[in-house]
Amino acid sequence: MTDKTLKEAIQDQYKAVQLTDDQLNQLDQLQAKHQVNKQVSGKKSSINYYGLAAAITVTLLLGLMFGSQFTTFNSDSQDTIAQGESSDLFRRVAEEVTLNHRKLRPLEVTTNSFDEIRGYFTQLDFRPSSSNIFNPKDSTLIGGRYCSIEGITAAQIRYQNSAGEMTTLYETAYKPSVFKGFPNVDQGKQPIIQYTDGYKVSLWMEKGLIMAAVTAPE
Amino acid sequence: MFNEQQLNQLYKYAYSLSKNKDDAYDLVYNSLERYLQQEKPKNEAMAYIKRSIKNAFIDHLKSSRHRKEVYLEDSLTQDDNSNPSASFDNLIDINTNCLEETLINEQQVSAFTEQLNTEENELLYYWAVEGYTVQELSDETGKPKGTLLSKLHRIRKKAEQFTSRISQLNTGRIL
Repeated sequence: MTDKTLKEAIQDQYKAVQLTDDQLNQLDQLQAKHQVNKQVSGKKSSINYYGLAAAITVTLLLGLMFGSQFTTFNSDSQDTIAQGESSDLFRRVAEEVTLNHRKLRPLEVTTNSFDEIRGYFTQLDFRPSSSNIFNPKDSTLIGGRYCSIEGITAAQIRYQNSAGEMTTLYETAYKPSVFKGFPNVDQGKQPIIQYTDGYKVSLWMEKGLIMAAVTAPE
Repeated sequence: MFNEQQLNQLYKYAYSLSKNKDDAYDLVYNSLERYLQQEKPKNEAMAYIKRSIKNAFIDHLKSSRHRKEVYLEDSLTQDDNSNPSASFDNLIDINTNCLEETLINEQQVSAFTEQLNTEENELLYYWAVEGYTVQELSDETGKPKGTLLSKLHRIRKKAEQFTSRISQLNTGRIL
């Protein structure tokens, strides 16, 4: 038993006082929930404000157009709703993966071999695959851990460059009911780019998987 | 969004008051939720949540009638009040030298902090963990520097009495 200064002893005592991973997750979820609520309520008020103007415009249009023109308008409106749903999904996924990226939870497997990464993730209902479009500059693979996106188990694969900056690639199974609207790069589409808290997030579908990459702020 | 480091900082602060990890987590969760609902300015966020944690803890103490000590806003001892200006000069010396040099056995620090009241534990946390100066403590708690120095002095006395009691007990055992 050794004597320490009171200050050192108190500091040591508090080093052991750390939130558990579960507690951190709960607090992160609490923050994410409120952020989403805030954005939804902001959007609702914009909809109310512009709703009246939109209604007047539509009424005028209906007054001028008949028959087939109405059908065209209706189908355009359905597309707009579908696009709105997708952009909500992209934003949600971007926020979720950015949050995970920032937390830098300990890696469950440390390796610079993608084969070893594949070997580690045995609990997934898909096989992690290297992407043809994701190639973080001057970075090397350092490992991975399990995570989830929209409640679906995913692989989090981490890369680091010589400056210590991290880039994270997420892969999860494509569930049509969940990941509607993700651009399929195998069909020549471009990834969706979102910016969340200063991080660049790319979202796409490739090789039948949903992929997301978070890169450090530039 | 609060990051992991900030959340842990709030948790440690809550622990300094409650001395119980589960209670500390509940305090952080509830206070964070309250903050998120009220949309306070971000630059005051940490201070706001800490105040909220402290108020919730005091309310809890009051409602549970589980006060092994009362959280007194102004708990100067008679000695401290007798000649505030004279003791203030002495206390500056105590703050800068003596408390820094106070020694305690690392195995017994938990037992020692258990004996302190909530306010003393809060001060120890700010001083040792967050590295606050007396001026910063005064800004944070809204208490005069003299009052804080007096409280730090009392903590030092308690630490000395504690270590002396422990060494007497140990001597008694050996004999």
